[in-house]
Amino acid sequence: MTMRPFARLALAFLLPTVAAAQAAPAPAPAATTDTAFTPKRVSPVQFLLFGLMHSAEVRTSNGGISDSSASLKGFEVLLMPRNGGIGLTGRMIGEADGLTYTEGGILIGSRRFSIDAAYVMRTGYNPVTFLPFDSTYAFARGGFRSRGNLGNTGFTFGFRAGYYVGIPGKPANDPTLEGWDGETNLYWSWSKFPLTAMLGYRIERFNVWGVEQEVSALTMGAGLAFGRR
Amino acid sequence: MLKRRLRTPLIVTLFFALGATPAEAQFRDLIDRVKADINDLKFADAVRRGQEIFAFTSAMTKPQLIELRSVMAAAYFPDEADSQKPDSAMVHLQALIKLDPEAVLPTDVRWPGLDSLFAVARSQTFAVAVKHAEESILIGTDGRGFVDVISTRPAVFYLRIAPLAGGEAVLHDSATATTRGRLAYRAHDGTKTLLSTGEYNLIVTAIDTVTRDSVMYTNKGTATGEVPVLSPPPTFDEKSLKPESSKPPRVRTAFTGIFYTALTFAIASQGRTIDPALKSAYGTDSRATMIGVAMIGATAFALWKDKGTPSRENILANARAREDHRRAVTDAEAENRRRIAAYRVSMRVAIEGR
Repeated sequence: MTMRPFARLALAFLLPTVAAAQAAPAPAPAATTDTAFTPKRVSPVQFLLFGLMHSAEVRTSNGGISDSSASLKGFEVLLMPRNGGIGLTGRMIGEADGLTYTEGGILIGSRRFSIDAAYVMRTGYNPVTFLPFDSTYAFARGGFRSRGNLGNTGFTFGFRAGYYVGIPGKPANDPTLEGWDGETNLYWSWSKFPLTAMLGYRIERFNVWGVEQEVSALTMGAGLAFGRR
Repeated sequence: MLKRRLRTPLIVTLFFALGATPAEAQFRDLIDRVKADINDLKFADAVRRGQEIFAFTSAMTKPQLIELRSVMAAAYFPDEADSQKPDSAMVHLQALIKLDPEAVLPTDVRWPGLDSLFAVARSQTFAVAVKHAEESILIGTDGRGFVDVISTRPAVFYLRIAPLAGGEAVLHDSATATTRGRLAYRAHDGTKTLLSTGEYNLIVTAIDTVTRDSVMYTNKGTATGEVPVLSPPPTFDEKSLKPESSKPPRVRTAFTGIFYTALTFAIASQGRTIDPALKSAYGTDSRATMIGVAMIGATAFALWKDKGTPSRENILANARAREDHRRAVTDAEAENRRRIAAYRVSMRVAIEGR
Protein backbone atom coordinates (compact mmCIF):
# COMPACT_ATOMS: atom_id res chain seq x y z
CA MET A 1 0.00 0.00 0.00
CA THR A 2 1.44 3.33 -1.01
CA MET A 3 0.79 6.68 0.64
CA ARG A 4 0.05 9.82 -1.23
CA PRO A 5 2.80 12.46 -1.14
CA PHE A 6 0.65 14.87 0.87
CA ALA A 7 -0.14 12.22 3.44
CA ARG A 8 3.53 11.38 3.75
CA LEU A 9 4.36 15.06 4.27
CA ALA A 10 1.65 15.46 6.88
CA LEU A 11 2.85 12.37 8.68
CA ALA A 12 6.42 13.59 8.56
CA PHE A 13 5.35 16.81 10.23
CA LEU A 14 2.92 15.38 12.72
CA LEU A 15 4.90 12.41 13.99
CA PRO A 16 7.72 14.39 15.62
CA THR A 17 5.15 16.78 17.08
CA VAL A 18 3.09 13.99 18.57
CA ALA A 19 6.19 12.18 19.76
CA ALA A 20 7.53 15.33 21.35
CA ALA A 21 4.23 16.00 23.04
CA GLN A 22 4.24 12.47 24.42
CA ALA A 23 7.85 12.71 25.48
CA ALA A 24 7.43 16.12 27.06
CA PRO A 25 7.88 15.76 30.80
CA ALA A 26 4.51 15.88 32.43
CA PRO A 27 4.50 18.09 35.48
CA ALA A 28 5.21 15.86 38.46
CA PRO A 29 2.38 15.80 40.97
CA ALA A 30 3.28 18.04 43.85
CA ALA A 31 3.24 16.60 47.32
CA THR A 32 -0.24 17.03 48.72
CA THR A 33 1.07 19.13 51.57
CA ASP A 34 3.45 21.15 49.44
CA THR A 35 2.41 24.72 48.98
CA ALA A 36 5.86 26.19 48.50
CA PHE A 37 6.25 25.27 44.87
CA THR A 38 3.78 24.84 42.07
CA PRO A 39 5.51 23.40 39.05
CA LYS A 40 4.98 25.36 35.88
CA ARG A 41 3.05 23.64 33.17
CA VAL A 42 5.38 23.21 30.27
CA SER A 43 3.84 23.53 26.85
CA PRO A 44 4.73 20.55 24.66
CA VAL A 45 4.91 22.82 21.62
CA GLN A 46 6.43 26.12 20.76
CA PHE A 47 3.80 28.50 19.60
CA LEU A 48 4.12 32.12 18.69
CA LEU A 49 1.58 34.57 17.38
CA PHE A 50 2.91 38.06 17.01
CA GLY A 51 1.69 41.37 15.74
CA LEU A 52 4.56 43.05 13.92
CA MET A 53 5.50 46.53 12.90
CA HIS A 54 8.56 47.49 10.89
CA SER A 55 9.67 51.08 10.73
CA ALA A 56 11.66 50.75 7.56
CA GLU A 57 13.82 52.80 5.28
CA VAL A 58 13.90 51.66 1.64
CA ARG A 59 16.84 52.67 -0.49
CA THR A 60 16.71 51.89 -4.17
CA SER A 61 19.50 52.00 -6.69
CA ASN A 62 18.03 52.37 -10.17
CA GLY A 63 20.53 54.39 -12.11
CA GLY A 64 20.09 57.03 -9.42
CA ILE A 65 19.58 56.52 -5.75
CA SER A 66 16.29 57.08 -3.98
CA ASP A 67 15.27 56.81 -0.37
CA SER A 68 11.81 56.38 1.16
CA SER A 69 10.26 55.41 4.47
CA ALA A 70 7.74 52.68 5.04
CA SER A 71 5.70 51.56 7.98
CA LEU A 72 4.94 47.89 7.57
CA LYS A 73 2.39 46.05 9.65
CA GLY A 74 1.56 42.41 9.82
CA PHE A 75 1.88 39.26 11.87
CA GLU A 76 4.04 36.24 12.33
CA VAL A 77 3.17 32.74 13.44
CA LEU A 78 5.27 29.75 14.43
CA LEU A 79 4.42 26.25 15.57
CA MET A 80 6.99 23.60 16.44
CA PRO A 81 7.48 20.80 18.97
CA ARG A 82 9.14 22.16 22.08
CA ASN A 83 11.84 19.55 22.06
CA GLY A 84 12.59 19.99 18.40
CA GLY A 85 11.52 18.41 15.14
CA ILE A 86 9.73 19.92 12.20
CA GLY A 87 7.79 23.13 12.54
CA LEU A 88 5.78 25.58 10.54
CA THR A 89 6.35 29.27 10.23
CA GLY A 90 4.70 32.13 8.42
CA ARG A 91 4.95 35.87 8.21
CA MET A 92 2.84 38.42 6.41
CA ILE A 93 3.77 42.09 6.57
CA GLY A 94 3.48 45.12 4.36
CA GLU A 95 1.71 48.34 3.57
CA ALA A 96 -0.89 49.26 1.00
CA ASP A 97 0.55 50.00 -2.45
CA GLY A 98 4.01 49.47 -1.08
CA LEU A 99 6.35 46.79 0.04
CA THR A 100 4.62 43.57 1.04
CA TYR A 101 6.31 40.39 2.16
CA THR A 102 4.53 37.06 2.64
CA GLU A 103 6.40 34.00 3.75
CA GLY A 104 5.42 30.44 4.61
CA GLY A 105 7.87 27.72 5.41
CA ILE A 106 9.11 24.91 7.53
CA LEU A 107 11.70 24.71 10.26
CA ILE A 108 13.84 21.72 11.10
CA GLY A 109 15.74 21.75 14.35
CA SER A 110 15.25 22.85 17.89
CA ARG A 111 14.43 25.96 19.87
CA ARG A 112 18.08 26.90 19.91
CA PHE A 113 18.88 26.38 16.26
CA SER A 114 16.89 25.44 13.20
CA ILE A 115 17.17 25.35 9.46
CA ASP A 116 14.66 27.49 7.69
CA ALA A 117 13.13 26.87 4.21
CA ALA A 118 10.35 29.10 2.97
CA TYR A 119 8.31 30.12 -0.01
CA VAL A 120 8.17 33.91 -0.22
CA MET A 121 6.15 36.41 -2.20
CA ARG A 122 7.39 39.96 -2.18
CA THR A 123 6.57 43.09 -4.08
CA GLY A 124 9.42 44.69 -5.94
CA TYR A 125 10.54 46.80 -8.84
CA ASN A 126 8.53 46.62 -12.04
CA PRO A 127 10.74 47.13 -15.11
CA VAL A 128 7.78 48.25 -17.20
CA THR A 129 6.23 50.83 -14.88
CA PHE A 130 9.52 51.64 -13.15
CA LEU A 131 7.65 51.64 -9.87
CA PRO A 132 9.55 50.18 -6.88
CA PHE A 133 6.79 47.83 -5.65
CA ASP A 134 4.58 47.22 -8.62
CA SER A 135 5.30 43.51 -9.22
CA THR A 136 5.05 40.50 -6.97
CA TYR A 137 7.87 38.06 -7.08
CA ALA A 138 7.89 34.54 -5.75
CA PHE A 139 11.12 32.96 -4.64
CA ALA A 140 12.59 30.48 -2.22
CA ARG A 141 14.33 31.44 0.95
CA GLY A 142 16.78 29.22 2.74
CA GLY A 143 18.45 30.09 6.02
CA PHE A 144 18.68 29.43 9.69
CA ARG A 145 17.60 30.92 12.96
CA SER A 146 18.91 30.71 16.49
CA ARG A 147 17.91 31.79 19.97
CA GLY A 148 19.77 32.33 23.20
CA ASN A 149 18.39 33.01 26.69
CA LEU A 150 19.89 35.62 28.97
CA GLY A 151 19.89 33.52 32.11
CA ASN A 152 16.54 33.30 33.86
CA THR A 153 15.52 36.90 33.41
CA GLY A 154 12.91 36.64 30.68
CA PHE A 155 15.16 38.17 28.02
CA THR A 156 15.98 36.15 24.92
CA PHE A 157 17.99 37.03 21.84
CA GLY A 158 17.07 35.76 18.39
CA PHE A 159 18.80 35.81 15.06
CA ARG A 160 17.74 34.74 11.61
CA ALA A 161 19.34 35.03 8.21
CA GLY A 162 18.45 33.70 4.79
CA TYR A 163 19.30 33.80 1.15
CA TYR A 164 16.80 34.34 -1.68
CA VAL A 165 16.77 32.27 -4.84
CA GLY A 166 14.36 32.78 -7.70
CA ILE A 167 12.11 29.87 -8.56
CA PRO A 168 12.50 28.87 -12.19
CA GLY A 169 9.35 28.84 -14.30
CA LYS A 170 7.55 31.59 -12.46
CA PRO A 171 6.38 33.89 -15.27
CA ALA A 172 6.98 37.23 -13.60
CA ASN A 173 10.31 36.28 -12.26
CA ASP A 174 13.60 37.65 -13.21
CA PRO A 175 16.03 34.74 -13.57
CA THR A 176 18.67 36.83 -11.83
CA LEU A 177 16.46 37.48 -8.75
CA GLU A 178 18.49 37.12 -5.59
CA GLY A 179 18.92 38.66 -2.20
CA TRP A 180 19.28 38.01 1.48
CA ASP A 181 17.99 39.17 4.80
CA GLY A 182 19.15 39.13 8.37
CA GLU A 183 17.56 40.18 11.61
CA THR A 184 18.32 40.17 15.30
CA ASN A 185 15.66 40.40 17.92
CA LEU A 186 15.48 41.04 21.63
CA TYR A 187 12.50 39.29 23.26
CA TRP A 188 11.10 39.78 26.70
CA SER A 189 8.62 37.24 28.10
CA TRP A 190 6.42 37.82 31.10
CA SER A 191 6.70 34.95 33.57
CA LYS A 192 3.10 35.20 34.79
CA PHE A 193 1.42 35.15 31.39
CA PRO A 194 2.60 33.94 27.96
CA LEU A 195 3.00 37.48 26.74
CA THR A 196 6.11 38.37 24.81
CA ALA A 197 7.36 41.66 23.41
CA MET A 198 10.04 42.01 20.80
CA LEU A 199 12.36 44.73 19.56
CA GLY A 200 14.82 44.15 16.75
CA TYR A 201 16.69 45.13 13.66
CA ARG A 202 16.27 43.78 10.15
CA ILE A 203 18.16 44.38 6.98
CA GLU A 204 17.29 43.03 3.55
CA ARG A 205 18.86 43.22 0.16
CA PHE A 206 16.62 42.44 -2.81
CA ASN A 207 17.86 42.46 -6.37
CA VAL A 208 15.54 42.08 -9.34
CA TRP A 209 15.92 43.17 -12.96
CA GLY A 210 19.23 44.74 -12.00
CA VAL A 211 17.59 47.09 -9.52
CA GLU A 212 18.77 46.70 -5.97
CA GLN A 213 16.68 47.55 -2.90
CA GLU A 214 18.05 47.79 0.59
CA VAL A 215 15.45 47.74 3.37
CA SER A 216 16.60 48.35 6.91
CA ALA A 217 14.02 48.38 9.66
CA LEU A 218 13.47 48.77 13.31
CA THR A 219 11.15 45.89 14.17
CA MET A 220 8.67 45.75 16.98
CA GLY A 221 6.19 43.12 17.95
CA ALA A 222 4.10 41.72 20.73
CA GLY A 223 1.97 38.65 21.17
CA LEU A 224 1.49 35.27 22.69
CA ALA A 225 4.32 32.81 22.98
CA PHE A 226 4.35 29.35 24.59
CA GLY A 227 7.24 26.99 25.10
CA ARG A 228 9.79 29.30 23.59
CA ARG A 229 12.22 29.63 26.48
CA MET B 1 -18.79 25.85 149.66
CA LEU B 2 -16.94 27.54 146.83
CA LYS B 3 -17.66 31.10 146.00
CA ARG B 4 -19.67 31.65 142.83
CA ARG B 5 -16.94 33.69 141.14
CA LEU B 6 -14.50 30.78 141.44
CA ARG B 7 -16.92 28.03 140.52
CA THR B 8 -16.94 28.43 136.71
CA PRO B 9 -13.17 28.78 136.18
CA LEU B 10 -12.64 25.72 138.25
CA ILE B 11 -15.17 23.76 136.26
CA VAL B 12 -13.61 24.89 132.97
CA THR B 13 -10.10 24.11 134.18
CA LEU B 14 -11.29 20.72 135.24
CA PHE B 15 -12.78 20.14 131.81
CA PHE B 16 -9.53 21.00 130.09
CA ALA B 17 -7.54 18.93 132.54
CA LEU B 18 -9.60 15.91 131.63
CA GLY B 19 -9.10 16.27 127.89
CA ALA B 20 -7.04 18.13 125.32
CA THR B 21 -10.09 20.09 124.17
CA PRO B 22 -13.43 20.72 125.77
CA ALA B 23 -15.93 18.23 124.58
CA GLU B 24 -19.05 19.52 122.89
CA ALA B 25 -21.20 18.40 125.84
CA GLN B 26 -19.02 20.23 128.36
CA PHE B 27 -19.05 23.42 126.30
CA ARG B 28 -22.76 23.05 125.84
CA ASP B 29 -23.21 22.82 129.58
CA LEU B 30 -21.23 26.02 130.16
CA ILE B 31 -23.11 27.93 127.47
CA ASP B 32 -26.42 26.65 128.77
CA ARG B 33 -25.55 28.05 132.21
CA VAL B 34 -24.92 31.48 130.66
CA LYS B 35 -28.24 31.24 128.80
CA ALA B 36 -29.94 30.19 132.01
CA ASP B 37 -28.57 33.30 133.73
CA ILE B 38 -29.99 35.42 130.91
CA ASN B 39 -33.37 33.68 131.22
CA ASP B 40 -33.28 34.28 134.96
CA LEU B 41 -32.57 37.95 134.21
CA LYS B 42 -29.22 37.59 135.96
CA PHE B 43 -27.44 39.48 133.25
CA ALA B 44 -24.43 40.43 135.33
CA ASP B 45 -23.89 36.79 136.23
CA ALA B 46 -24.29 35.77 132.60
CA VAL B 47 -21.67 38.35 131.55
CA ARG B 48 -19.27 37.26 134.25
CA ARG B 49 -19.69 33.58 133.48
CA GLY B 50 -19.23 34.20 129.76
CA GLN B 51 -16.08 36.28 130.31
CA GLU B 52 -14.62 33.48 132.35
CA ILE B 53 -15.19 31.10 129.47
CA PHE B 54 -13.39 33.56 127.16
CA ALA B 55 -10.18 32.83 129.01
CA PHE B 56 -10.14 29.52 127.14
CA THR B 57 -11.09 30.62 123.61
CA SER B 58 -7.89 29.24 122.15
CA ALA B 59 -9.15 25.75 122.88
CA MET B 60 -12.57 26.32 121.33
CA THR B 61 -13.77 25.51 117.86
CA LYS B 62 -15.05 28.26 115.60
CA PRO B 63 -18.75 27.32 116.00
CA GLN B 64 -18.32 27.31 119.77
CA LEU B 65 -16.71 30.72 119.66
CA ILE B 66 -19.50 32.04 117.43
CA GLU B 67 -22.12 30.79 119.86
CA LEU B 68 -20.25 32.26 122.84
CA ARG B 69 -20.07 35.67 121.12
CA SER B 70 -23.81 35.49 120.35
CA VAL B 71 -24.69 34.67 123.90
CA MET B 72 -22.38 37.39 125.27
CA ALA B 73 -24.03 39.96 122.97
CA ALA B 74 -27.41 38.84 124.30
CA ALA B 75 -26.14 39.13 127.88
CA TYR B 76 -24.94 42.70 127.25
CA PHE B 77 -28.08 43.72 125.35
CA PRO B 78 -31.17 42.13 126.99
CA ASP B 79 -34.62 43.48 126.43
CA GLU B 80 -34.50 45.16 129.88
CA ALA B 81 -33.48 48.72 129.15
CA ASP B 82 -31.68 49.21 132.46
CA SER B 83 -29.34 46.31 131.82
CA GLN B 84 -28.46 47.15 128.21
CA LYS B 85 -24.83 47.92 127.35
CA PRO B 86 -25.01 48.39 123.55
CA ASP B 87 -21.31 49.27 123.08
CA SER B 88 -20.19 46.07 124.78
CA ALA B 89 -22.78 44.06 122.85
CA MET B 90 -21.59 45.72 119.62
CA VAL B 91 -18.00 44.57 120.27
CA HIS B 92 -19.17 40.96 120.47
CA LEU B 93 -21.48 41.28 117.48
CA GLN B 94 -18.69 42.72 115.32
CA ALA B 95 -16.33 39.99 116.46
CA LEU B 96 -19.05 37.47 115.65
CA ILE B 97 -19.47 38.91 112.13
CA LYS B 98 -15.72 38.82 111.58
CA LEU B 99 -15.78 35.16 112.52
CA ASP B 100 -18.61 34.44 110.10
CA PRO B 101 -20.11 37.13 107.84
CA GLU B 102 -23.14 34.91 107.33
CA ALA B 103 -23.68 34.18 111.03
CA VAL B 104 -27.18 34.43 112.51
CA LEU B 105 -28.08 34.78 116.16
CA PRO B 106 -29.38 31.67 117.95
CA THR B 107 -33.17 31.79 118.22
CA ASP B 108 -33.17 31.33 122.00
CA VAL B 109 -31.28 34.59 122.64
CA ARG B 110 -32.52 36.89 119.91
CA TRP B 111 -35.13 39.59 120.27
CA PRO B 112 -35.97 42.50 117.87
CA GLY B 113 -33.72 44.96 119.61
CA LEU B 114 -30.74 42.64 119.43
CA ASP B 115 -31.54 41.87 115.77
CA SER B 116 -31.48 45.60 114.99
CA LEU B 117 -28.16 46.03 116.77
CA PHE B 118 -26.84 43.02 114.87
CA ALA B 119 -27.91 44.59 111.55
CA VAL B 120 -26.09 47.80 112.49
CA ALA B 121 -23.01 45.80 113.44
CA ARG B 122 -23.13 43.95 110.11
CA SER B 123 -23.34 47.20 108.14
CA GLN B 124 -20.35 48.67 110.00
CA THR B 125 -18.09 45.64 109.82
CA PHE B 126 -16.10 44.52 106.81
CA ALA B 127 -15.81 40.81 107.19
CA VAL B 128 -14.98 38.05 104.78
CA ALA B 129 -15.45 34.33 104.82
CA VAL B 130 -13.31 32.03 102.70
CA LYS B 131 -14.46 28.49 102.10
CA HIS B 132 -12.18 25.88 100.61
CA ALA B 133 -13.04 22.37 99.60
CA GLU B 134 -11.09 19.98 101.75
CA GLU B 135 -9.72 18.24 98.69
CA SER B 136 -9.79 19.22 95.03
CA ILE B 137 -8.67 17.06 92.14
CA LEU B 138 -7.25 19.17 89.31
CA ILE B 139 -6.85 17.41 85.96
CA GLY B 140 -5.23 18.99 82.94
CA THR B 141 -5.68 22.66 82.22
CA ASP B 142 -9.44 22.63 82.72
CA GLY B 143 -9.65 20.95 86.10
CA ARG B 144 -10.10 23.56 88.79
CA GLY B 145 -10.22 23.88 92.55
CA PHE B 146 -12.62 26.46 93.90
CA VAL B 147 -12.62 28.91 96.77
CA ASP B 148 -15.93 30.47 97.71
CA VAL B 149 -15.71 33.97 99.15
CA ILE B 150 -18.39 35.92 100.99
CA SER B 151 -18.15 39.43 102.34
CA THR B 152 -20.46 41.78 104.23
CA ARG B 153 -19.71 44.59 101.77
CA PRO B 154 -18.81 44.59 98.05
CA ALA B 155 -15.16 43.75 97.69
CA VAL B 156 -12.51 42.85 95.16
CA PHE B 157 -11.03 39.40 95.73
CA TYR B 158 -7.71 37.94 94.66
CA LEU B 159 -6.52 34.38 94.95
CA ARG B 160 -2.78 33.87 95.01
CA ILE B 161 -0.92 30.67 95.63
CA ALA B 162 2.65 30.73 96.89
CA PRO B 163 4.91 27.73 97.44
CA LEU B 164 5.94 27.39 101.07
CA ALA B 165 9.41 26.39 99.99
CA GLY B 166 9.86 29.86 98.57
CA GLY B 167 9.01 31.48 95.32
CA GLU B 168 6.72 34.05 93.90
CA ALA B 169 3.00 33.96 94.63
CA VAL B 170 1.07 33.30 91.44
CA LEU B 171 -2.23 35.09 90.87
CA HIS B 172 -4.78 32.46 89.87
CA ASP B 173 -8.05 34.33 89.86
CA SER B 174 -9.86 37.49 90.91
CA ALA B 175 -13.41 38.72 91.34
CA THR B 176 -14.53 42.33 91.23
CA ALA B 177 -17.01 44.24 93.41
CA THR B 178 -19.10 41.44 94.77
CA THR B 179 -20.28 40.14 98.13
CA ARG B 180 -20.28 36.54 97.01
CA GLY B 181 -17.97 34.94 94.53
CA ARG B 182 -16.03 31.89 93.51
CA LEU B 183 -12.33 31.94 92.81
CA ALA B 184 -10.63 29.15 90.93
CA TYR B 185 -7.15 27.73 90.64
CA ARG B 186 -5.63 25.15 88.38
CA ALA B 187 -2.54 23.00 88.21
CA HIS B 188 -1.35 23.81 84.68
CA ASP B 189 -2.04 26.67 82.31
CA GLY B 190 -1.01 24.76 79.17
CA THR B 191 2.40 26.34 79.13
CA LYS B 192 3.77 25.96 82.61
CA THR B 193 3.08 23.96 85.72
CA LEU B 194 1.36 26.05 88.37
CA LEU B 195 1.04 23.43 91.07
CA SER B 196 3.14 20.36 91.69
CA THR B 197 3.89 18.20 94.69
CA GLY B 198 4.58 20.47 97.66
CA GLU B 199 3.18 22.74 100.34
CA TYR B 200 1.47 25.97 99.38
CA ASN B 201 -0.17 28.97 100.95
CA LEU B 202 -3.52 29.75 99.35
CA ILE B 203 -3.91 33.47 99.97
CA VAL B 204 -7.22 35.21 99.47
CA THR B 205 -7.12 38.99 99.67
CA ALA B 206 -10.33 41.00 99.89
CA ILE B 207 -10.41 44.77 99.46
CA ASP B 208 -13.48 46.76 100.48
CA THR B 209 -14.46 48.73 97.40
CA VAL B 210 -15.66 51.68 99.50
CA THR B 211 -13.24 52.00 102.40
CA ARG B 212 -10.31 50.22 100.72
CA ASP B 213 -9.93 48.15 103.92
CA SER B 214 -8.35 44.86 103.11
CA VAL B 215 -8.22 41.48 104.77
CA MET B 216 -6.09 38.51 103.87
CA TYR B 217 -6.83 34.86 104.57
CA THR B 218 -4.18 32.23 104.18
CA ASN B 219 -4.80 28.52 104.14
CA LYS B 220 -2.15 25.91 103.85
CA GLY B 221 -2.55 23.41 101.07
CA THR B 222 -0.72 20.26 100.16
CA ALA B 223 -0.53 19.40 96.49
CA THR B 224 0.33 15.96 95.19
CA GLY B 225 0.96 15.34 91.51
CA GLU B 226 3.67 14.17 89.18
CA VAL B 227 4.70 16.97 86.86
CA PRO B 228 4.41 15.91 83.20
CA VAL B 229 7.68 15.66 81.32
CA LEU B 230 7.23 17.61 78.10
CA SER B 231 9.11 16.94 74.89
CA PRO B 232 11.22 19.84 73.66
CA PRO B 233 10.08 21.18 70.29
CA PRO B 234 12.08 19.69 67.38
CA THR B 235 14.66 22.08 65.99
CA PHE B 236 15.05 22.90 62.34
CA ASP B 237 18.40 23.67 60.79
CA GLU B 238 17.95 26.09 57.91
CA LYS B 239 21.49 25.26 56.83
CA SER B 240 20.38 21.74 55.95
CA LEU B 241 18.16 23.10 53.18
CA LYS B 242 19.30 22.68 49.61
CA PRO B 243 19.87 25.70 47.35
CA GLU B 244 16.59 26.44 45.61
CA SER B 245 18.15 28.05 42.54
CA SER B 246 21.12 27.17 40.41
CA LYS B 247 23.94 29.67 40.17
CA PRO B 248 23.20 32.23 37.48
CA PRO B 249 25.16 31.37 34.31
CA ARG B 250 26.93 34.72 34.08
CA VAL B 251 29.62 33.67 31.63
CA ARG B 252 27.10 32.17 29.24
CA THR B 253 24.85 35.21 29.63
CA ALA B 254 27.72 37.56 28.86
CA PHE B 255 28.77 35.47 25.87
CA THR B 256 25.21 35.32 24.53
CA GLY B 257 24.83 39.08 24.91
CA ILE B 258 28.09 39.83 23.19
CA PHE B 259 27.45 37.29 20.42
CA TYR B 260 24.01 38.56 19.44
CA THR B 261 25.02 42.20 19.78
CA ALA B 262 27.95 41.50 17.50
CA LEU B 263 25.60 39.78 15.04
CA THR B 264 23.43 42.90 14.99
CA PHE B 265 26.34 45.12 14.09
CA ALA B 266 27.60 42.51 11.65
CA ILE B 267 24.43 42.32 9.61
CA ALA B 268 24.07 46.10 9.74
CA SER B 269 27.52 46.56 8.25
CA GLN B 270 28.21 43.41 6.24
CA GLY B 271 24.68 42.47 5.20
CA ARG B 272 24.09 45.60 3.22
CA THR B 273 23.83 46.13 -0.49
CA ILE B 274 26.61 45.21 -2.82
CA ASP B 275 25.95 48.32 -4.88
CA PRO B 276 28.94 50.59 -4.12
CA ALA B 277 26.98 53.74 -5.02
CA LEU B 278 24.14 52.82 -2.68
CA LYS B 279 26.55 51.75 0.00
CA SER B 280 28.53 54.96 -0.10
CA ALA B 281 25.39 57.13 -0.13
CA TYR B 282 24.28 55.92 3.29
CA GLY B 283 26.44 55.35 6.32
CA THR B 284 25.93 53.14 9.34
CA ASP B 285 22.33 52.53 10.23
CA SER B 286 21.39 54.20 13.52
CA ARG B 287 18.60 51.63 13.99
CA ALA B 288 21.17 48.88 14.36
CA THR B 289 23.11 50.99 16.84
CA MET B 290 19.95 51.51 18.87
CA ILE B 291 19.14 47.80 18.98
CA GLY B 292 22.77 46.98 19.79
CA VAL B 293 22.65 49.35 22.75
CA ALA B 294 19.35 47.80 23.88
CA MET B 295 20.93 44.35 23.72
CA ILE B 296 23.91 45.48 25.75
CA GLY B 297 21.50 46.98 28.29
CA ALA B 298 19.51 43.75 28.47
CA THR B 299 22.70 41.76 28.94
CA ALA B 300 23.85 44.06 31.74
CA PHE B 301 20.44 43.78 33.37
CA ALA B 302 20.57 39.99 33.12
CA LEU B 303 24.05 39.86 34.65
CA TRP B 304 22.84 42.08 37.50
CA LYS B 305 19.42 40.63 38.17
CA ASP B 306 19.58 36.97 37.25
CA LYS B 307 19.06 34.88 40.39
CA GLY B 308 19.50 31.56 38.62
CA THR B 309 17.01 28.93 37.61
CA PRO B 310 14.77 27.56 40.36
CA SER B 311 15.50 23.92 41.08
CA ARG B 312 12.19 22.14 41.23
CA GLU B 313 13.69 19.08 42.96
CA ASN B 314 15.41 21.15 45.62
CA ILE B 315 12.38 23.36 46.21
CA LEU B 316 10.19 20.29 46.65
CA ALA B 317 12.80 18.62 48.88
CA ASN B 318 12.99 21.75 51.04
CA ALA B 319 9.21 21.98 51.16
CA ARG B 320 9.09 18.36 52.26
CA ALA B 321 11.74 19.00 54.91
CA ARG B 322 9.78 22.00 56.21
CA GLU B 323 6.57 19.99 56.14
CA ASP B 324 8.24 17.12 58.02
CA HIS B 325 9.48 19.58 60.61
CA ARG B 326 6.08 21.21 60.92
CA ARG B 327 4.51 17.77 61.36
CA ALA B 328 7.12 16.84 63.98
CA VAL B 329 6.38 20.07 65.85
CA THR B 330 2.64 19.40 65.63
CA ASP B 331 3.12 15.84 66.88
CA ALA B 332 5.31 17.00 69.76
CA GLU B 333 2.79 19.67 70.69
CA ALA B 334 -0.06 17.16 70.53
CA GLU B 335 1.87 14.72 72.72
CA ASN B 336 2.66 17.50 75.20
CA ARG B 337 -0.97 18.58 75.23
CA ARG B 338 -1.96 14.98 75.90
CA ARG B 339 0.48 14.75 78.80
CA ILE B 340 -0.70 18.06 80.21
CA ALA B 341 -4.33 16.97 79.83
CA ALA B 342 -3.53 13.86 81.85
CA TYR B 343 -1.71 15.81 84.58
CA ARG B 344 -3.51 15.15 87.86
CA VAL B 345 -2.98 17.08 91.07
CA SER B 346 -4.70 16.55 94.37
CA MET B 347 -4.86 19.69 96.54
CA ARG B 348 -5.77 19.19 100.17
CA VAL B 349 -6.45 22.40 102.03
CA ALA B 350 -6.17 22.68 105.79
CA ILE B 351 -9.47 24.17 106.90
CA GLU B 352 -9.69 26.08 110.13
CA GLY B 353 -12.41 25.18 112.59
CA ARG B 354 -13.21 21.70 111.45
